[in-house]
Amino acid sequence: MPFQADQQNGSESSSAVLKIIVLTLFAVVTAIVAVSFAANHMRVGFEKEYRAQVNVKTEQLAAASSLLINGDEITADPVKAQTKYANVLPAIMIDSMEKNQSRKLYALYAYSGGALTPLLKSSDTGILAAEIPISDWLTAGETNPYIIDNDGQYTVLTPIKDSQNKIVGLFELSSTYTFLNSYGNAVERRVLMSVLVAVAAGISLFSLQYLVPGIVHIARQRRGRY
Amino acid sequence: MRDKEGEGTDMQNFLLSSLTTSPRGNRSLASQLGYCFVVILVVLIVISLTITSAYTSVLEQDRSDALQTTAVTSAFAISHSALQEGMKFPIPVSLYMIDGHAYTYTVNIYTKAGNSFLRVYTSKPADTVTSNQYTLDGAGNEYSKAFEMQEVVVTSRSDKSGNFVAGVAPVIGQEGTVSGLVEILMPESDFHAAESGLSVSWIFTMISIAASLSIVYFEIHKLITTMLGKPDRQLPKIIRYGLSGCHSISFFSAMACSMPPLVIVSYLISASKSAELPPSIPVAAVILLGGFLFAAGFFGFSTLRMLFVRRFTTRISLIFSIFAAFVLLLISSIFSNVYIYLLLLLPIGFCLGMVFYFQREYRIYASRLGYEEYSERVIHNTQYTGYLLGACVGAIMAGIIYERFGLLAVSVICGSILLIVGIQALLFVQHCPPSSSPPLHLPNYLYALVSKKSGTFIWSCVTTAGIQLAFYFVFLPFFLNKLGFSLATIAFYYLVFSFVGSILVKSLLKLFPNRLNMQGRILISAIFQVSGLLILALFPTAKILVITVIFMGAALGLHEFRWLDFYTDMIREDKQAMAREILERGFASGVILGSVGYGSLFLFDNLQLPLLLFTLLMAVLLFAYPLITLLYSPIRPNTPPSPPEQPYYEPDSPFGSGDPFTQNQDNSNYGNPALQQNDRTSPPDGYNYQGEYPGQETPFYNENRLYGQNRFNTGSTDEREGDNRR
Repeated sequence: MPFQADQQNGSESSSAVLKIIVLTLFAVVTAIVAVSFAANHMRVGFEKEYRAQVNVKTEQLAAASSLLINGDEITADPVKAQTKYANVLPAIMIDSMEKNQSRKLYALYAYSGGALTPLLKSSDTGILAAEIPISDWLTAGETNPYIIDNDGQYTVLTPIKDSQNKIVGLFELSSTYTFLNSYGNAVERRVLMSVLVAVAAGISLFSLQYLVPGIVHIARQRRGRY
Repeated sequence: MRDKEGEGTDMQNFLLSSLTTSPRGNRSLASQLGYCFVVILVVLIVISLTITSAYTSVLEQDRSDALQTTAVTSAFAISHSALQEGMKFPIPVSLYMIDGHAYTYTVNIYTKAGNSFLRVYTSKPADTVTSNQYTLDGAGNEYSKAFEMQEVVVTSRSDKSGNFVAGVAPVIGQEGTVSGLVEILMPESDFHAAESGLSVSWIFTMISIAASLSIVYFEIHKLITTMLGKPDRQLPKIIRYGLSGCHSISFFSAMACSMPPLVIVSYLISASKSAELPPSIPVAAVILLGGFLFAAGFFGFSTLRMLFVRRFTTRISLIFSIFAAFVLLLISSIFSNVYIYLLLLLPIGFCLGMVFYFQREYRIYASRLGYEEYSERVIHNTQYTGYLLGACVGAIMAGIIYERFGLLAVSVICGSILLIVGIQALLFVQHCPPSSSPPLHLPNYLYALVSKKSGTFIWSCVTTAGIQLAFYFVFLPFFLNKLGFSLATIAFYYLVFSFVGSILVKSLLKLFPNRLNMQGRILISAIFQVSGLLILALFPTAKILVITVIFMGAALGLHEFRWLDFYTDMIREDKQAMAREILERGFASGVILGSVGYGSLFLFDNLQLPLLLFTLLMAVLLFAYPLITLLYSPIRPNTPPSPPEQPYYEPDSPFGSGDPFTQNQDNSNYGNPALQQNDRTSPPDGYNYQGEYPGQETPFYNENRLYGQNRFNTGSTDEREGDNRR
């Protein structure tokens, strides 16, 4: 009989241990998965919102800038126009890189004979207008801007017209948001690390209610012995 | 004084006992569940706040940049021109985007006037501006700094019309000096807004996640306890593990089986966006097809299921189906081809449907053993609770895993849970012979449907319940996707449905027992369903959907699985053996029709009108039975008797004549089983059910329900262990 009782106690304690292990593992895994989902869901939502906001801003800025560029000046004296807009455009395109993670890239072209001639550009990389066949979209009557939505960069190509309403130039403005990916990864990583710490601390705190009675019991036994 | 001392000692004892005794049993489980729920909810809220804060600052920086650039372009546009009253702004006013809507900035132009600035132009509509001269109030030193230092600044200011954030740039005048300021304004609330932040829907989603994970924690605890516990060997094999085993199987099977149908909509929409579908085919049509195929596979082919079960036994059929489902799910997700996915939806639905068919067989067999605590209604209620909880958790799992890890992860998790179901079935249900119900041929089913009262009951009550199931698995995912909600948000609606249907309505029915007969319940249920759909058709929003789900939950919680008894009492005794199959087929037809009906609503751009028409159709169906019962109500004193209905005579019927589905419908005790019992007549000798096939033996177990009477209590150990003859 005592052997049976011992066996029963042994199986009960082993089943309790199994239960604790399985439930703890489950709690940790589900907490991490749930938090990972929540972080990713919010990240995707914010990134979408940010992209939409930056895209509208780029379109608006490109439209306003193209209205400030005088097509007649480009036709009359491209060199003079180049000098003028090399001073004006950087003043308009405030790119506070230390504050704002989204960068602006811009370029101004003269257009004649179906070809583009670069007048000025803010960067050697990321300028797209020269890389795509312009005849694909720039026609005589074209008034709408041409949009290139690549991953991490939103480009608006706006035709510039002279007083005769003839297309004489092109203004290219791009906003890059490649930082979003690294920023999101960093945020998710930090959040997951915090969750791991929080879950570990939570389980430790929770197990106190089971550990403290045991410790108190042992302490009492020792006190009784002495 | 003694009392105070006593209270102090009691408190001390309480604290000491709390410290010296660890929680055990239900107290321990309750504390674990509470802790699990609170910790997950708090963690989710904290990380949501952290992420919102991190991304809102990024959005604000970009808005600040937009204010600056707009101010500078505006200043350039009016540079070297005279700033005076009545001037025109030469370029269009720029737009900004908040919450998916475009708004225009407010442009103000000021000239210096002494120590302040005088407004000479505003883009605000004329009727909102006073004709008096407006001087800049509420502006800080930033404005003076912008003017004097020729800097572009972003600052905030307030006036009578509200709080604003402004981008300010100096304007160069005709003399080449600063002549004024351009101010670009946006409301402060817009500047700090975040569409993807901590919204009400997201809070409810987080609550659903915490609740669902606590539920699944509880179920795993229960599963381990049942598995490691000792079965009652005095009971037949099928019920040795009690209702806990049955509940566990139903929970995990519902959890697994709810995942694949819920991701159909999200997967097909994303496939359409990534141009995997031809643009000529509307995505709603493909979803309609997908929903129909899955519903047809899951609820159809009952004869094939019966054949499998009788050929290979219930448990082998189940295990085979689980493996087949796992493989098919993996194939459909590994190839990630929309056509293969659509093609496999039907067999996947069939295999997953087998899991539920197994539980049907379990219910029928266990309920016929004669134990009161294992009556069919008790088992069905237990399984239904498991299904509801499983569907809630399945919805969360599907949402979380699909959005985070994709379709393959959903398939793997679903298959893994199905494997757990298989292990449970092998362990808890050690013996389950297939039911020996007669086959239901199409003519019999059609006879049952066209019958005046019992037929109307089928399509008005049972089929519509099936249609409403499609509401949860076809309409809800599509509708919430259209509103831009996460798939996991569906779980919130499922939880609301479960709470109302299984807790609130049941509590009310227990508080006021015998107040409502079945006809009353059917009428109230119809009113609730139509009201719910009607308000959703009028205001198709996520908030109104909560009210609809509450109505639906109340409507579908009212029947308490009394339909079979009610219907059986309605039809003639020789056809009662088919009652279950008739109702099951009616319900299955409802789900398939519902998947088509609800799926087709989204083929139209405007949801309101089709939903309104659908509601009208549902109203006709739902109110048909209550109207029929009113029209053919029992004969009352002082009212002339209605002419007797000419019944349909089956030529070879031993009854001589009579529509088998209208036998008891003119009974004055109709709908009251207790009184109706006295009026029953037994079928003539020689017309009892003699087995399904010619020469087949009479079913071993009596078809009559005799709850509380153990027909196995014969002293034979073989029968106690279960009948192994099949």
